[in-house]
Amino acid sequence: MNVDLSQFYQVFFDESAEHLAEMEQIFLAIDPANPDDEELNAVFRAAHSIKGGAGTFGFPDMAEVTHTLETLLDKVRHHELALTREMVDIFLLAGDAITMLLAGHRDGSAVDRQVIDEVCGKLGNLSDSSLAQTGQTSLTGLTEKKTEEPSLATWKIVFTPPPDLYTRMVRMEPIFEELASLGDFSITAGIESHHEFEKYDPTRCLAIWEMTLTTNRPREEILDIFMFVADEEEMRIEKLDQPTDVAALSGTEDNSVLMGRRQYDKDETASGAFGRRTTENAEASSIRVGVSKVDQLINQMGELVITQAMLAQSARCIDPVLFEDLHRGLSLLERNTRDLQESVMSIRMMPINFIFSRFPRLVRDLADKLGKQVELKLVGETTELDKGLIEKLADPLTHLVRNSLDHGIELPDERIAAGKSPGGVITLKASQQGGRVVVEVADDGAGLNREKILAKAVQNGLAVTDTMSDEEVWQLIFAAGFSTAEQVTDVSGRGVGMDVVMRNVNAMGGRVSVFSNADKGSRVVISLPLTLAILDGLSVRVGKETFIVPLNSIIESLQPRIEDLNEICRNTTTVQVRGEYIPLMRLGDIFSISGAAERPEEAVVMLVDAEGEHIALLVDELLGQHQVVIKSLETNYRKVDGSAGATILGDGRVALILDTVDMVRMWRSQ
Amino acid sequence: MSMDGQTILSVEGGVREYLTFSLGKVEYAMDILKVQEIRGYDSVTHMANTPDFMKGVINLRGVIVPIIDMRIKFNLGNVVYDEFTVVIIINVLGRVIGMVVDGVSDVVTLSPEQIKPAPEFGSGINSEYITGMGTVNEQMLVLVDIERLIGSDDMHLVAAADNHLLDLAA
Repeated sequence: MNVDLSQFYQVFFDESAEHLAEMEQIFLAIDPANPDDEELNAVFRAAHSIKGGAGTFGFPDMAEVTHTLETLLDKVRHHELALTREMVDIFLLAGDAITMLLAGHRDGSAVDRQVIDEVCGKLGNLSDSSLAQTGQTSLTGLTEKKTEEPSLATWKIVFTPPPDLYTRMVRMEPIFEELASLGDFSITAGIESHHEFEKYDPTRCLAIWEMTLTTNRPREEILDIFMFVADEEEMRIEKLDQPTDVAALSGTEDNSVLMGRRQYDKDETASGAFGRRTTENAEASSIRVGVSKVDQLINQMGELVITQAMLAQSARCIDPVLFEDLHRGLSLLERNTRDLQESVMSIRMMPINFIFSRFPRLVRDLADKLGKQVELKLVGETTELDKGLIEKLADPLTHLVRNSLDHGIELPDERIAAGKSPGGVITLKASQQGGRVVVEVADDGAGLNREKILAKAVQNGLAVTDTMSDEEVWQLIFAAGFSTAEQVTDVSGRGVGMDVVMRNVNAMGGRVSVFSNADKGSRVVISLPLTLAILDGLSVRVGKETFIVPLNSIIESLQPRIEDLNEICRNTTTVQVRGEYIPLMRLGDIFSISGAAERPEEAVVMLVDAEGEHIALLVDELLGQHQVVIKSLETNYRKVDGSAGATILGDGRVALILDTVDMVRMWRSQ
Repeated sequence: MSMDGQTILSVEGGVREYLTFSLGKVEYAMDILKVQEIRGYDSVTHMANTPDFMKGVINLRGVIVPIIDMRIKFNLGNVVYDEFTVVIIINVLGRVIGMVVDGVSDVVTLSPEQIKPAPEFGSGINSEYITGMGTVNEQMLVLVDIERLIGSDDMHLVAAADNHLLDLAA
């Protein structure tokens, strides 16, 4: 039977990558002094799955490294060897080595054999030293099997199968045959006696098998044969001619140790099967779909929303009494479209943990390299964000975290001198605020140095004055080629970074703001739109033009009374709303539209929120609420100031979607 | 150059097709492979703070496409929009752009020997965007490098950061 294994390679690569990520995650979280058995078992299972897959698919190099890792892990798991921080470091290195091999097989990228050998050597050293230390001759691992050749022994094996043995499609015959091949084998089957005939269910397994096997193979090997069939508690294996050992072998300690190894191989449908952790239960019922398919779905969804809007618009001039059915159908269509859209959009939403999870490792490695003590706190990892945004967010966040580590957090001595605890804290926080997702990177380090930034800006020929506000000064760090780091490290200081952050975030329709307190730390806040595809908006008319105002930035709309309007000077008017004076911004002026209403009392004022600031936006008329599909203007054109993109209205015309914050900025600079 | 140049020529036979269009009294020609379609002039959505020749954007089957009026760009007075106004939708630099012209005339085939190098012009169209002059039926054609023209800074179509696209295309 020749099966082309290459068709399964991709699955193996994907799964191995997942296992590697899981291993790394656990290693980073693990406390070497007090490791959690369950976690150690999980790592072992992950390593074991990779090894198994690598062996099956013919990647001996991967299998070799993983085997060495597994051997050592097994010892740690069995408490034969105490876990140390150095060990965790080497485990992480081994994970990297396997990742490198995996990438080598998958993408054909270069593999550095030296690194692999080094890691294997280190792992091997640890394994060996453990043997020397404890002097234990454990039966696990291949090395021992070679050194110790057990003499002939007779084993009594009692297997009490679970009732669902047959329904799991398990065949016992091959197992018995295999056992027989090991040596002198005999078997008797018993039946669980206390069942009632009326309740007899032929699909349930009621048999109990008792086997005796005389072989020179170790107990391990017998257990291995039952690997995919039996759980530890269903097996009893006793050495008949050495009764003193029976207690030791069936003793609880040994049992628990071996249990971890068998548990996952039992039931393929169980959540714990095949090295999956129980917490990943939800994932077991998921499917892998190409991103392009999802994108296609979303594009088609967008077209459907436009078509629906078009129908709704055309139906407006149809008599609602005569064509009641049509109107009912259309409102049903609208609701269904909205539901469908929500479901489709949710496919693309992913927890931000997808990128957060890479930072513990990064921070750990960098902190070690820089000789700093840093703790990374992750807050709100489950916040969901559009997949496209998540991918684009990875680079900016990496820059920010590296910056915090390199420039923000001080060396332990400096921190103590400043009256702080020697270990710094970097906080990565994500939260949803209205229609936006806010991600912030905060540290309790030295904060930004105003003088240094100003000096550097002068040196770079930027226009600065000493009277600039802090906020303006902080914005300077986003200029290209700007770095105040005293020395260029391989971490940061090359002056590419903050400008990249700014550019990437702006390209996503997001904004970056910086807050800093000398000696208290700094905070960089990235605010992003929740999704790139569809938003709820209110269409407004100004002159002959239609604009869409995102619903989540609108506070209220009102018709101002003439006594509420105060003209402070030409072009500067305020509206009084419940005792608050709010500046009036004329949309017609910002976009230079002719024919816009001149007198505010004859038009409509919309109170909009521009990142916490309230602005009264003057428009001619409110047209209606729509769901609009965001179309990029940049695809064929360029970014238009004051807009977050464009959309296609029901009548096929293009309307700009307003970005209140950008609009306020434009208005102020006019 | 000779080796490579000859290979390309022999593959394409040295003969290329051009779409000719008129702007004022002059006939221009552009590589027909850059043309996506030709359509009439619809109502456009105006964009604020853009040069005059940037008419705005239209919805072309769900894609937002900017429309530029070459007549305004080349200072050809007499700009009217009626049912005879033609928009050439071109696909250059990975973008789709609509170009308003006075009229689309013909598709012509030009061999290399029919193309003469362009002289230096005083004003109007920058000679940087002209690849040569051709003659068909005693009519002079100005061959435009549409990619360079669209990508140029004074068209305001491509944001400065995207200008590397031009270098790639060049």
